[in-house]
Amino acid sequence: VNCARFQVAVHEYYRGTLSAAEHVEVETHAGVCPPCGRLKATCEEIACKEVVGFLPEYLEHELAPARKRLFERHFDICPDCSAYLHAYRSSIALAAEALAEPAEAPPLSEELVRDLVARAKKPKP
Amino acid sequence: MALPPGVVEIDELVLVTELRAGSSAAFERLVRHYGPPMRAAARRLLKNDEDADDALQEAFLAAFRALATFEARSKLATWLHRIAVNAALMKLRAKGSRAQETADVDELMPEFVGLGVFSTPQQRWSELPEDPVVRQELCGSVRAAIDELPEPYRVALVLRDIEELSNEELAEQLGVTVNAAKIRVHRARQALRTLLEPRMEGLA
Repeated sequence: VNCARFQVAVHEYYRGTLSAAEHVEVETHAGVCPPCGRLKATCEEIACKEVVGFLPEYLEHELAPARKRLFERHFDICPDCSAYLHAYRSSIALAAEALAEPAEAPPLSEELVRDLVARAKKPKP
Repeated sequence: MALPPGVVEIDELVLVTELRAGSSAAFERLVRHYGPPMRAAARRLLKNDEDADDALQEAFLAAFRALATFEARSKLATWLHRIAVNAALMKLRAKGSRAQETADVDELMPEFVGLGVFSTPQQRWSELPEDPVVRQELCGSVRAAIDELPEPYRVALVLRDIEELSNEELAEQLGVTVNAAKIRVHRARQALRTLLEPRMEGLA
C-alpha cells in the first residue's frame, strides 16, 4: 500500500471490504507514514452516520464552531460524505425549482370565479 | 407574485377599503388578481384540482372574514398566500391524511456499516444541466419523485423548502415538536435524494 492507494483504501478499510492482507497493510502504512496516519485519525474523529444525521444543523449554521470545523475536516477527507452533502443540497434546490410557482399562474376558470363571488355574497354562517 | 395576463396592477389599499365596504365588484377583482397564485399554492399541497378549488373557496371565505384584521403594512398577496396554504392544510387534515402517517421512508435512507460508514461508496452527482430543455425535463422527474413521497413527508418538504416556513412554524402546522418537524424534513430530503439518484447518475 502506497500513499495514493491508502487514500482510497482507508475508506474501504472502515467499510470492511478489504482483504485480510490489505487490511493489515493499511494499518501498517498508517503506523509508519505520518500524513496517512493523520488521515486515518481524522477518519476516526466522527462517523459518517453522525455527519449525515446532523446535515440540517450543519447547513443551517446551528453547529458550535468546534463541531462545525470537525464536520468540515470530515467533508475534506470523506468522499462519501462530501458526495452525499452535494446531492442533498442539489435535491433541496431541485425541489424548490421544480415546484416554484410559474411566472404566470394560469387564470381561474370563469366558472370558479362565479362560484367564489357567489359564495362570498351569501350571508355568513 | 406575478400577475396573470391581462390583469393590471391594483392599489391594495383602495381594494381593501372597497372590500370592507362590502363591494362585490371589489371581491371579484380580488379573486381574479390573487386567485391564480393562491390556487397554485393550494394545488401544490393537495395535488388535485378539485381539492385545490375547494381550498381556494375556503381561503377566500376566511380572508373575507379576517379582512378586519388585515394590516395595511403587510402585503395583501403574502397575507392571502398564507391563508391559501392554511386552507390547503386544513383540507389535508380533513381528508384524514393522518392514516398515512405510518407510511415510512426507511428503505430510502442511507445505510451505514461498522462504526457508521456508508455501506457503499457514494457517487458524486453531476452539476445541474444548463440546457433549458433538459432542465425542464429534470424538473418533471423531480415533481414525480416528490409525488412518490408518503404524504406527511411530501407536505413537510413543501412547507419547509418551498413555502420556506421556519422549523418552529412547521412544527406548529404539523402539530409536532420542533425536533420531530426537523427530523421529518431531513428524512423527506434524504428520501428525495435517493429517488433522484438514478436520474442524476444518468446525467453524469
